[in-house]
Amino acid sequence: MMKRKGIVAIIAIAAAVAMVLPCWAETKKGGFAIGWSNAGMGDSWRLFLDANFRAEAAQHPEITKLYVTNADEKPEKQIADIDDLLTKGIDALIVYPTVGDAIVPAIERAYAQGIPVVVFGGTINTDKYTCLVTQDLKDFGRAQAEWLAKELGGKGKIVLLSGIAGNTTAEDRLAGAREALKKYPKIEILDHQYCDWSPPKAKSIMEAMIQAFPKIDGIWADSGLMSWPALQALKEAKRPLVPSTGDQLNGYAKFLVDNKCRGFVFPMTTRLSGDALKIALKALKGEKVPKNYSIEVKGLGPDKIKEFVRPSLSDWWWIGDDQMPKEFLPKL
Amino acid sequence: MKLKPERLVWFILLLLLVACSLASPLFLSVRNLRNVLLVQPIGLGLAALGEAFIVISGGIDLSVGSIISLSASVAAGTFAANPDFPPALMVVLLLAMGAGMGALNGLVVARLRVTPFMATLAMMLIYQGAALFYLKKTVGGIPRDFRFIADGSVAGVPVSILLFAVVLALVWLVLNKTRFGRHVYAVGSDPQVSAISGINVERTRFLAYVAGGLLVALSAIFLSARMGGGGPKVGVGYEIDAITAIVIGGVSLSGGSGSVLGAFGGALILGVFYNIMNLLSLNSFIQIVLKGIVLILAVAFYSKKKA
Amino acid sequence: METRRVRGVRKIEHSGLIVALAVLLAAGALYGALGGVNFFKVGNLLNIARSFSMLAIVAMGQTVAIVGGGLDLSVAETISSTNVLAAAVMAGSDSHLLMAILVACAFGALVGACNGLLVAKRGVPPFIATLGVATIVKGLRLVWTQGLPTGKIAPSLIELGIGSTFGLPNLTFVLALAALVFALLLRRTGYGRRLFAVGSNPAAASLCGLRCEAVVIGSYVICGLSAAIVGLLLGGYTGMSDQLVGEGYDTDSIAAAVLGGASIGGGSGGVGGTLLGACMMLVVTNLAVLAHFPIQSQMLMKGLLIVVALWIDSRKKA
Repeated sequence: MMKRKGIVAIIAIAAAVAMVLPCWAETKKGGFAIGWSNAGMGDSWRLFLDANFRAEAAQHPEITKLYVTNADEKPEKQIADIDDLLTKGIDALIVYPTVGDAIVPAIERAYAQGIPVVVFGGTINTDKYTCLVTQDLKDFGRAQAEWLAKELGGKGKIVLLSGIAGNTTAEDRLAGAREALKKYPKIEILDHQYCDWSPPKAKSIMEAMIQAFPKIDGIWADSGLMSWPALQALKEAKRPLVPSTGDQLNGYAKFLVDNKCRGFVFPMTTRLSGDALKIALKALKGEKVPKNYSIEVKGLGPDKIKEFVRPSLSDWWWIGDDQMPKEFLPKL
Repeated sequence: MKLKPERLVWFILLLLLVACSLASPLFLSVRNLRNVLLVQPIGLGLAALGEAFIVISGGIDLSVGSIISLSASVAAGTFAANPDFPPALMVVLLLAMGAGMGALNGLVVARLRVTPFMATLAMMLIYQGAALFYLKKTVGGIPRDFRFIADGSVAGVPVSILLFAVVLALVWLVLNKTRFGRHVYAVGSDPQVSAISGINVERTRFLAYVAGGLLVALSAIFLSARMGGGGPKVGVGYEIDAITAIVIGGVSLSGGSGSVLGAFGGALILGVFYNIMNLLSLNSFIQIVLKGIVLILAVAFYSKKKA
Repeated sequence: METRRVRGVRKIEHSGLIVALAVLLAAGALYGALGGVNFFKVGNLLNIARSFSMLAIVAMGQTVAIVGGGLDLSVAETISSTNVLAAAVMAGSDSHLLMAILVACAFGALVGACNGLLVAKRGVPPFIATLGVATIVKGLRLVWTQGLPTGKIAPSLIELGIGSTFGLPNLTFVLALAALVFALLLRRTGYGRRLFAVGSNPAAASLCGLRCEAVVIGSYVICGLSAAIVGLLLGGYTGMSDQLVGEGYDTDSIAAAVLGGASIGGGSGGVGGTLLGACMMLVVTNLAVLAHFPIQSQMLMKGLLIVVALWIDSRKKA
């Protein structure tokens, strides 16, 4: 009996408090509130993306509030995140899409509210946005494949290692690479496998490929996460360390430099986030912004890699993306 | 005073709502309440109903995420190839597919007598593979007519919640007012006794999986309408969310107890939890820790009640 | 006598798995005979042996948890977290290796103890308890590393991971030792007997005066320890500190154990079956890569093989 009374009392008090509370509505004192719906967090590349974003934000005192949400790679969660950010009364929305084609309705809702909507790092299947900031992913795979083909003198046998099957980034990079390789009829693709951007998986798959193919002349991998362990597998099998491609992962660069083998780094730049924020602010201030803004990224050949590699830092550092004030750099 | 877990869940939800409104003044805005109570929980809610149906019958379904991925891929792929495909026909097609996949699961579990956990894990791989055969990556372009299912509203009330209410009522009726429903509970709590008392255990299990598949297909229909697209990866991890929701909602994983209303309550609690985390702008890594703690606390609380 | 009889029964129970493996190996031989890559090439078998050793060790830990009536979904996050934690402790130097191993084992045991306490003391279903603990472990790891692990693997651990002795990968010796320990634990110790008793009928076991709670908690601690060891070994195998290295080990280890005759719900399972189960999981992947199967077909093959193997098993039981 006592217990029941207690519960009723708690409910009554809580209800009373709840009814009074909405009077507290958040007051805005000038300045901009920026919302960023991020696709996921929890790996070092996203950490650099976040660091670049915050470093850029710090240079703009007019930003008074910064809200970041994490969709955990689930499009449905991202749609809810965007709705929640709109509830918070943001002045501009920045979106790193989980899957650009599966969050269109949320983007359109935000745009219909009349706030600037800047999408970066992916594609989007609508024209209801303010600006799309991208790095061309097909170009990414194409540049890697072209370097590899040229390195091999236009002929040889190569293997392709890509990320997660069905993932837009992985599929676009692969499509770009395959497109570029069509121009080199003497380059033979021995096999293509998905390694889920996982080093142990890439290593064991590469080990199997080493058994399957007596001669492999080159490795196209869309990320250093796979070319690095693949090279390790070659080294352990006492096979020649062939030319390979990857992204700007420090561990991969370190391996290339330490073992004096030739490789090509095509950065998947994390500076996109800062640029997206800059453009969102411009749009907020009423300046004209381009509908599509593509970031030019240059690949790093073997000589450049030697220059950029950070031998003393973590394997998971992203070389070339650390040009920001020290206080924003990820802590080691 | 002893409350059953499936009633307790509403009490927890109420406490959570009060705590949320104390924590963030934005929470009680009409717009937010509409989002968090009427729109966001539908997709997970439907999947949770399907999962609850199966779990109450003594099984488990780990292939929910893959069924959603495959269904959404088919919807998006078909619409991309043929934008004039009638939306109503698509709904029927997806429901048939869901029932078919549920039947396949049921066949492997009930007929071939493979442990539900492993059977649905294997089926998860198979559906995921099939989705990747069908579509390489996510495509958009689900037409506005179809998106009405998720975005439309009648007199300010979202269509989806109205449809959901109908589904919820139907599922509740089936489980509580029909002989089949009683059999589902009986088979879930003790298959041997049920068999002795003349219940066809195999058929009941099979039909529970078919019903579960249908409900998951409904979830896939809603989700592809809400996302405006679909692909082989869109449902990843949905089974874990659905199981989390129903367990918080007081459905026992050992089968035979729990209610669909509780399962929906669990989905609501998860939705409110994510919402308040966003409104408070909490660090996303701390959010992960909190999610784990909430799950364990809720279930540890119920488990003590049982002991 | 008693144990021998039980073993006889187990041999029949593995028939599904043995059939599936035989089909796979025959396919491998056929593929080789038709001019494809020879699956039975020594180099290939040794490669499989390394991945096999790691999966098998986790799967044996998982078997212990399953025999005790549970299941451990937290092994993947435990492996990843141990890997990062141990790499940070050893910081690339052999002198800290022992310390790192101790820390890793302590961590694995701690995670296992949390799982076990929740399951045994509070009656939380194993699925939820281990899922919740896994989520918390993952969150704490991310709060700590922010996704940027900084540790380095010590050279002697790398030697253990990739080197060979007498022509066999070092990892296989670790596996042999682990298999011996697990086999003795399950079949020759009082703890093993109690574990089977508690797993097959907890009510009867506690009536007979067994301290069920301690037995169950012990099973999760053992599972956590085996995951921690694999976290270390994976560090040696890849030579890097990788915070996602354990991904997939949760479902793969459960699949291996169940294929090997462990039944979810407890009371049955064994080291031999689990080793065969782990073997099958890896042979599928390896054959698929050798034969250039695309990922979709790999998924379909794996799924179908699991269903078929377990179906044959269940027919034998019925």
